[in-house]
Amino acid sequence: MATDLRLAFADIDEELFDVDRIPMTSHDVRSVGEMLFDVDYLARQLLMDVDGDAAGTLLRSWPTMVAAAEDLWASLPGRRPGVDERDRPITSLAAQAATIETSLSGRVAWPGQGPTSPRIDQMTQTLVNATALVRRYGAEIPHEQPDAHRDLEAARTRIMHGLYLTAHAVNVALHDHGRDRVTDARSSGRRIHLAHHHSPYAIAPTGVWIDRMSACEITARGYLTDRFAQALAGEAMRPVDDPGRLAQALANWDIQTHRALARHLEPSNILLITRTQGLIAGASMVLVDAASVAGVLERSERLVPAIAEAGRSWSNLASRWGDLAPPGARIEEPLARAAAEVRAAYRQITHDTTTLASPEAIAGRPGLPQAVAATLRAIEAGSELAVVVAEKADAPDLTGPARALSRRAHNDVEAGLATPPAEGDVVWVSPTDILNKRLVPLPPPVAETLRAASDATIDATSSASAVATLHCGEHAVATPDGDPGLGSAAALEVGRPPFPRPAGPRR
Amino acid sequence: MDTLNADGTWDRLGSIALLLHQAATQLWSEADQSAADSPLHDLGLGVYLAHSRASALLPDDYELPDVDADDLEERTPLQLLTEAEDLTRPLPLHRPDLVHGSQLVVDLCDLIREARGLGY
Repeated sequence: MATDLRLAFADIDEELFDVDRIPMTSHDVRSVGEMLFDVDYLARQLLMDVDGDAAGTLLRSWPTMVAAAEDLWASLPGRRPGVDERDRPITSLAAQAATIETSLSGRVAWPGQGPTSPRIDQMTQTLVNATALVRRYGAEIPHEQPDAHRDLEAARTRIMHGLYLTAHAVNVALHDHGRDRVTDARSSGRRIHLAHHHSPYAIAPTGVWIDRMSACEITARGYLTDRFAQALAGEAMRPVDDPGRLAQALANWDIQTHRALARHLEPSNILLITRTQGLIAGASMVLVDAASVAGVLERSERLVPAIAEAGRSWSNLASRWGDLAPPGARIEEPLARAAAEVRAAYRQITHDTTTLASPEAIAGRPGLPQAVAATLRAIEAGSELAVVVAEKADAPDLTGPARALSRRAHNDVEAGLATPPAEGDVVWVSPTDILNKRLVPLPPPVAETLRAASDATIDATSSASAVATLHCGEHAVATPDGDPGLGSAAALEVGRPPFPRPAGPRR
Repeated sequence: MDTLNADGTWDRLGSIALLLHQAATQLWSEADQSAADSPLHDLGLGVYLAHSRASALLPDDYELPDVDADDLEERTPLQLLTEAEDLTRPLPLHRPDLVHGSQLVVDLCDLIREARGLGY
């Protein structure tokens, strides 16, 4: 595959920042465009490597980087007199960072005084060098010309992009730092005060920093997605400390899946739906396990196995829809956003950064009772969704990539999952179609096993739904003696009318 | 001529979509061999959502570049993710068509960190 296309970048900035316009210096031979490219590179490396140990150094380095970025921004030629709407995000970021610097100054409590981050310092120095170059030679730039104007816009985007990536990295580090502190405290038997800010691990000293860095991240992202005006008008990221986040995410997922399935839907969207349902099942197993440890839910011999079987059947069905979804196929945006929020909401409570947390760790997290109520409700509703998804397998115009369908047809016949053809060995998909990478109608064995997998999913999800319903009831009854917050959440869940559940397989 | 594809932007995004689709397929294939609560299900979904973000940036009538599927299948999910991230570096993120490009970069860096954390 032709993947080395990197020459394109220099084209963006050559008018404004190429070596003919900006003479080399003895200190730094890079053009401004190259310097901004290096800031992007360093920010990416930081984000890929970041962990909780770096939280303090990163936080201490952040205000200086923003100040350097603001300086470079201000030095770019073509600035309009008076207040420029275009400059408000960087002005806002600089003000946010300045208050962080003031709070850090002379501070004894965490993160206290100490070293700064070499990576952020390197980015800061690069921005300072770029500013010096622009100040020295920027007056020669014909900024009113379209090409130069475009290059200046590119430079502003690059600056803000570097700040966005770095703010996100600092936030990741702060979350990880909180998690590490909580883990250390629990392993040594110490009590720790959770701040309930933006993270299940936001211990008191870091919670406020997470809030402030989140504000910086939102500001930078708002500029890049052209939504800064909305952000200023009050639009904000949903607070992740909200104990109802998972319930809200799952309720929205339920709405979006039904809206999408009510129309003709491409297989790529059905793949997303079935995979997300598999994720819901897997995460539910983790939460139910943790809830048993925490005493929020009575242990059951049936619940986890039933959910596990539902998860396996969703995954099997998903792998078959995956054969029909070609690379690059579009996914409906509301559906993708809803799936992303479901994933993020589960991760908040089930994960230690990149891996699953232990049941004991999850058991101690705030919001677990509400999350368990919400996830059991989603398992309950899964059987109805399985019926709707199964109807999509009956569509007569289904097609998929020839190669994947050929492989699937032969494998299913060989494994005895599909009816073997009476005429013996059959070529299900023409080699010409495979060679030309065409989309072809479903071969009979693939259509047959897709319907069989749909039926198996209805069976498995119906069983899981029935068991989950029993536990939802038990959950609500057990609540008054437990967490008072759970009482209201669970009662609300149980008070809602149940989804109609199918009586059994449709065939 | 399509001005954005004049510098290979669409082909670059098309390659990213292909790489991410393959990475998601491989991760899910491994997840399906594991327990229902394997973290690979979660990582696979994250990669598929990033694939959808990259695909959404492409023009409606764009046709993906032709690739050798066997060649892609030989790479690990982390290699595929890293290559996709590498391809995003020269993207002209200031163009209105690529307004969500920065978010794609953040997603990819997060996914690479997660994949490394899972031992890839």
